[in-house]
Amino acid sequence: MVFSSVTFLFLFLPASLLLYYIIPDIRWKNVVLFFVSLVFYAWGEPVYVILMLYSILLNYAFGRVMGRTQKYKKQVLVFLIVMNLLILGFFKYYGFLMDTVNSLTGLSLPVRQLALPVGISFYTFQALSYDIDLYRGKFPPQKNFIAFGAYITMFPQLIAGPIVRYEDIERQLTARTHSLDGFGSGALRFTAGLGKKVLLANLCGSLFDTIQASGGNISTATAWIGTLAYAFQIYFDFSGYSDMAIGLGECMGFSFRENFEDPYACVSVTDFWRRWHISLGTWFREYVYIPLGGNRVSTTKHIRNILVVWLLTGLWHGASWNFVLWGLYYALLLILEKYVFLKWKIPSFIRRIFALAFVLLGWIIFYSQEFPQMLTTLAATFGFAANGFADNAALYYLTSNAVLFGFCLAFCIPATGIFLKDCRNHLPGRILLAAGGAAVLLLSVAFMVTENYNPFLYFRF
Amino acid sequence: MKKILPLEVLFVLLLAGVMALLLWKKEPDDLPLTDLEQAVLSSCTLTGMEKAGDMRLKRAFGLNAADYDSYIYYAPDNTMSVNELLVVKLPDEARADEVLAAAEARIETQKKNFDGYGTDQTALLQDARVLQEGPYVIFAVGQDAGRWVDVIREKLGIRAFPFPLPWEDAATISDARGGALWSSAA
Repeated sequence: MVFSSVTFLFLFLPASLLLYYIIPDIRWKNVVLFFVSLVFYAWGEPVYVILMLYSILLNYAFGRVMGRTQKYKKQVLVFLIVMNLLILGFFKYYGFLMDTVNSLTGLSLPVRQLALPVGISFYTFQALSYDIDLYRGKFPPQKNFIAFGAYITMFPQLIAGPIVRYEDIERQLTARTHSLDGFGSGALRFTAGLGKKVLLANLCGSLFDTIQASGGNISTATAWIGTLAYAFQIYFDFSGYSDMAIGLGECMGFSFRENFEDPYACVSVTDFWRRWHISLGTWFREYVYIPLGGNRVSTTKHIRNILVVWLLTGLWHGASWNFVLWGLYYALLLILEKYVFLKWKIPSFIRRIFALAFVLLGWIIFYSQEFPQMLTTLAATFGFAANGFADNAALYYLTSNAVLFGFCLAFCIPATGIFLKDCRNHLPGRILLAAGGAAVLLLSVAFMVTENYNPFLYFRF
Repeated sequence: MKKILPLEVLFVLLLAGVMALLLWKKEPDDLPLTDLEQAVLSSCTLTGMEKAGDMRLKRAFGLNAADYDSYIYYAPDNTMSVNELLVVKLPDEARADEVLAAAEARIETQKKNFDGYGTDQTALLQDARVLQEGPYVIFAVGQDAGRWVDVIREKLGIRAFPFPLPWEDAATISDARGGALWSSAA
């Protein structure tokens, strides 16, 4: 089930919230949250819910063990890391690994293609954050199985993040406040996310698919328009989902950290990654980059650390070589920025343009599953296009989507966010927000009912 | 340590069990396609379709009937219908790719045919079912495509688990083995 579906909006969500709110006690609220989250997951994953329950039981049980022993704490942590990575590795990377072995060796080893358990990367990373921070002594082990299960399965962020670290919501699992203000604010945030997803991401996705269907018969301008459409699609798709997750969490008294902060307003690639998928960046920084030594090591080791983190970041996004290449592309850019570009004195607006251009080129690597397609599109963006620099198709795509791009741009700049936040501080602003929210909800539902194009890009991660 | 090691072993064994359960796949029973056809016809109404032969199979999918063990094909009965049901029994499972590719190509062609004006048809094509169960390749487009596929899989004895679940019937058999798990329109 996805958030932007009629079943979720008009059946699952009202029923879950009603059940959640009629129960007064927080412990029973956690029971409801755990139960409805399992139903939410099982709706689309009736089989893989067993794997998730196993993962909960494993991390809960050994978390308890870790709390009881000092002597074997490290051994327990190593066991948990190995087991979690084994589960993730097997279900996500087994096919990729076997295909690679077959193509490198010329063998024909049988490969059983497994359906990827939705959200496995997200909930495994959450479990690992619990294990590692528990080992570090940041908090005591969670003794209540239901509370721990609710943390892992919490349906608002179960299948597409943000990755919530246990230390951030440990207290909220046992004591959180529910208020009408919080509910209203959460509902508004959810609606904003729904609008981003349905009204902006889906329309950009539709344009991107149309341009993709042209194959290599495009002009340079069309290649850039297509890439821009994808950049908008993935941003509004994923940040919209994060908004919905944060909003739903707020409706239930939880406070999740932000996952996006106007990433396309970045002044450098480094800055982009401070603003994009913040929860994943934080996870890799806390549990991989800093333990490896971070930047407080020799230049060689620092470069190694960046390469390791970005290789893993690429792989996290999918079991495919284009994601590996995408990760290494960013590693290279970040190394160059750190040691070369940031030492140059370049005007801020030029830095912004270059950063954005590099991010857009990165998306081409990201979405191209085949190398020939990647090379054709990259060549087209640099002027080597089959249909020249610009053609009628480019003009058509641009004029027929000008309004859409206008809205996308408006919701990418920080000023819009500041204005909307400011609206909360006075009555006319609040009325404007309420009216806007209602309009977005109505339009989104209308689109959901009439349009059948509704993919969710980050599901496959 | 004495207490931790047995627990670790227990969880490793438990994971092995979970993996075995999730990877378990029942091979479909070897049945003639007429049995599958009868099963579908007795429990579903096939509207907007008519039984078709070798020529239409070739025209729609580019497949030669003689290359396969057997097939059943119900083609659209008018130009505005996209309803279709094709089940091909392969002589060799290694040949599944060509039939799967032909099915995907058929969907793309039909999408192009109805692009821009056939909203309902496009929606049905979006939800087309293409899957392989052992030597059988199934392709279904229609409002009840999911139901047809379920009936066929039930007849072939496909189950999600090694044991039948208490609530399991034809309508609840999971698509988890190769089917589309998360429909975006779910």
